[in-house]
Amino acid sequence: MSVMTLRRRTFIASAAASAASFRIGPIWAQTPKRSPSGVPVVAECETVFLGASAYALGAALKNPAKTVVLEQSLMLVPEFSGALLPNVLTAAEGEIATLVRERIEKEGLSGNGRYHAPPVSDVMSALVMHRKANLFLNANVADIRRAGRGFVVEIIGPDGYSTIAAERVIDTMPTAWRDAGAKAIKEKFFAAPLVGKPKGDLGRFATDKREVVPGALPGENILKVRLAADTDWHNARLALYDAFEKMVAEDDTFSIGGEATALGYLYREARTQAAHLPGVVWHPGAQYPDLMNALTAGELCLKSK
Amino acid sequence: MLEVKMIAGKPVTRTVAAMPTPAGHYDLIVVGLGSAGAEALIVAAEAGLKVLGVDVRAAMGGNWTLGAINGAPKWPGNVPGRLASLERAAHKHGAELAYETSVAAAYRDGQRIVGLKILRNGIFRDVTANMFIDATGNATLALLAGAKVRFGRAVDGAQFTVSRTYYVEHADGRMGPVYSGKCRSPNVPVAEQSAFATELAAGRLGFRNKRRVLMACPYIGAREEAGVETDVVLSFRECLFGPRCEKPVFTAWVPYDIHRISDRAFETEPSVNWEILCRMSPFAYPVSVPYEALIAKGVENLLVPSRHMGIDRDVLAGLRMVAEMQMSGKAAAAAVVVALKSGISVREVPYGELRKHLDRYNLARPLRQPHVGFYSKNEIAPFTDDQIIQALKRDIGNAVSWVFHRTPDDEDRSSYAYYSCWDVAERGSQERNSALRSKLVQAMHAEKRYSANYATALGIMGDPQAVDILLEIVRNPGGERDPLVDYVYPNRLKAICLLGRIGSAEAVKPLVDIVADGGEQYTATLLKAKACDYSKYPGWVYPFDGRAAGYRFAAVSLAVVALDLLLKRHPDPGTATRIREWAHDGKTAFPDEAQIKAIAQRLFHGAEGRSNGNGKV
Repeated sequence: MSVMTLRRRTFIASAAASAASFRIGPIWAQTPKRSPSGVPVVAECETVFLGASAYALGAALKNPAKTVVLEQSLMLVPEFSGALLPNVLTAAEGEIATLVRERIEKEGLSGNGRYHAPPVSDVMSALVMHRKANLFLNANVADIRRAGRGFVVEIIGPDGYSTIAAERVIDTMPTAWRDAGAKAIKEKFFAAPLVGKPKGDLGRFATDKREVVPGALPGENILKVRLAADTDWHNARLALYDAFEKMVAEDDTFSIGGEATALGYLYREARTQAAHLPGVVWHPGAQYPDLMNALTAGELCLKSK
Repeated sequence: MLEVKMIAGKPVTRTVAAMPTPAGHYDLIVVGLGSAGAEALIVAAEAGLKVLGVDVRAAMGGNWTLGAINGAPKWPGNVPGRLASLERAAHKHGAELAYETSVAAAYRDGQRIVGLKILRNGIFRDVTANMFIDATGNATLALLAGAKVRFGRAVDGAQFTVSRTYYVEHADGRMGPVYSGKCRSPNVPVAEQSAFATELAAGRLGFRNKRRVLMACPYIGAREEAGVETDVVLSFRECLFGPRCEKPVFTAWVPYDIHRISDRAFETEPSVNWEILCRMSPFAYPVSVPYEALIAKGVENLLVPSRHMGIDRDVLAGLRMVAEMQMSGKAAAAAVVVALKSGISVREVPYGELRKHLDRYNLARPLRQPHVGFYSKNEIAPFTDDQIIQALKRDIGNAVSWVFHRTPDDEDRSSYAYYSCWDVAERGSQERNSALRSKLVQAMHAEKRYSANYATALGIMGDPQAVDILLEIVRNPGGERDPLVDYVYPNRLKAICLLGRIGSAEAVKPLVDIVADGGEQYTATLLKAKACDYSKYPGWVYPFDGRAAGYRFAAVSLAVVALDLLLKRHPDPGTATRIREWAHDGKTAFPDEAQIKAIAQRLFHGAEGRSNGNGKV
């Protein structure tokens, strides 16, 4: 991970005055500065993104020196790579989208106008390393506080509590921090790759609750189960298994081979809105219908500030 | 009452008047729903307890599910099938699940944990319970509870390799994992952990090899993280030679499977004997885990199954497997059930009552003596003296290939002959000891071609009569005492190790020469040896397979450890200074030599020219 120096900014000084007394230094402090409560201040930046969505990573890969991305899981672009769908590979417009598309094609992950979703998380990992973007994984956001003209974001990671000081916060998580955007969700879905050689077209299993979507690779099929907006992980899985078992009861020549590692989301409308705290914007990364558009929008988001 | 939070990897306490009003009370809270925690949760719920399971990920099962360890052809045995079995069992028995949830703080009253503050997506909840299980893998709850925790290897804190996995569909339709693996330091800040996870993730792209990825596993598969200090800690030596626990909570046959082959010089003495000197990799040994190894020392109501168990790092190298972790979780939950239903503390659980629950899951099966082939499952009995002499009268050359070949004849008799010598030295009668040593000395002088084998056997027994032959080997590697044969740790590497233990001052110079040269000359001819054709085993990366750096790492690391031991017995300020200077010169002759130098800096930091090593290596 990179070590870099940022210019002092007024907001940081303000944040420091209320949260801690620290010197502006490398973004990953070798010896972390500490607030009076002992919580280390591990990074300072212009913009902190909540969620390693394609929108957030588009911005972070374009502006690595100004940004920090916080992700609760270990996956990157989970709304595409983890959810498995949508997997449509559109034309790339921005610089980062072009890089991602080129790498997807180089790795043999494209075909049929789609991309093979799971390894795309690691395509993004390679670019994060190459671009020296600043990324905290396993970072569960505990608190966001106004501090002067900026914010202090407190996280719980594998080593416990730490904080990040930032001028602004863009929340790209699917339901927003503290689930403030939960009501904007129209429905969820859960997907699973199918394996085997079914006797006929799997499209025959489509109902109003499930469908089978083709993937990029030869013979790749993905089962998609539609869920109510308030479905949690546990019940999403139970619904998936029930749907699958009904299908194999009719035709056991195929099997469920894996599972999505992120839930999918459909929103009532495209949105960017104020979230739980004045000044924090919620722009869910999962609202984009395709990866390339999400990356490009992210690339442009800091420019449009 | 104390509120305890983890800050920068350390628990920080503050006194509070009372815990916030809880959102729920449970009989048991299980933190960490990996292989052990998921089983604990389900067993406790099945017994009628009100149970809450907490995990930072969005699923149960850990390595068994999200880590995609091993594969199976089809539902319901494959990864989603395993997930389904766990989710459905939890659902059926009414267990509550808190996924994507971290432990933000613990509340302690004296030596009891009273409750937890948990966090999901910015929303905190306070929960209380009578009992707790920490199966997190990194001892999150044990640290907050005030228990002592051991991280990694004694000499440098290094941990076993961790991995990030793709669960793939192979061309023939089979499903299984491919890995990107690496070692890491324990408990490092979040930024370093993130960089490490990102590097591993990017690395696994290279292992995809055009296969279809069914899951890019959202998980780091850890083989070791944190060992909690428990009421009883079971050691590798006790497992091999000590009286077996008569009242185990579970039993298992386990291999020694530490994954980093070239740097084993820095492991414990029993580990070096097992892995380097005897090369017992193809064998499994029996382990009987006592109940007290599940009870966190100094805490009244915390059980620690999983990799936190009271076993040393060497035992963990084998017992860490999914099946054993699952057994540990079931055993811990069974103990909680007995304690809560009887209204007693976890330390008062009567074994007879606990055993009834253990037997429901067939956890404490009786174990036979003393070893089995890990792959073939053939039992093997201790060798007689004559069997030992006969087994060592051969070129030892196929050692590596047994790991892969799973035929009934795999177990190499030379390995077991060496092990039998060690066994006699540890617990044989004086008469048996003397008789065997005499026969080995006689054979060593009579059989020149195999003299190194017999010298090694004597060295394992700690007999200085082997020293002259061992010295000849290190002074003239590849000479008549060291005919070149295929072997993962050939005699010339073993000789370095043994001279550290039993050598005289004469051994110092040749060992220093190996260190100073970066092991280049000493290992050059070993590269001609090729123990097995690895092209038959795609996906296996073997450090010694034609790789100079692997052999050089082994030679130099063994020499550093040997010199540490030698200079304790034969102080030599000039040599110690020379090693210190070498360790600090900032140069590297081969990849990863810096790791050896960092350890050498710690071993040879004494101001008076004497090594200050901890003696455990």
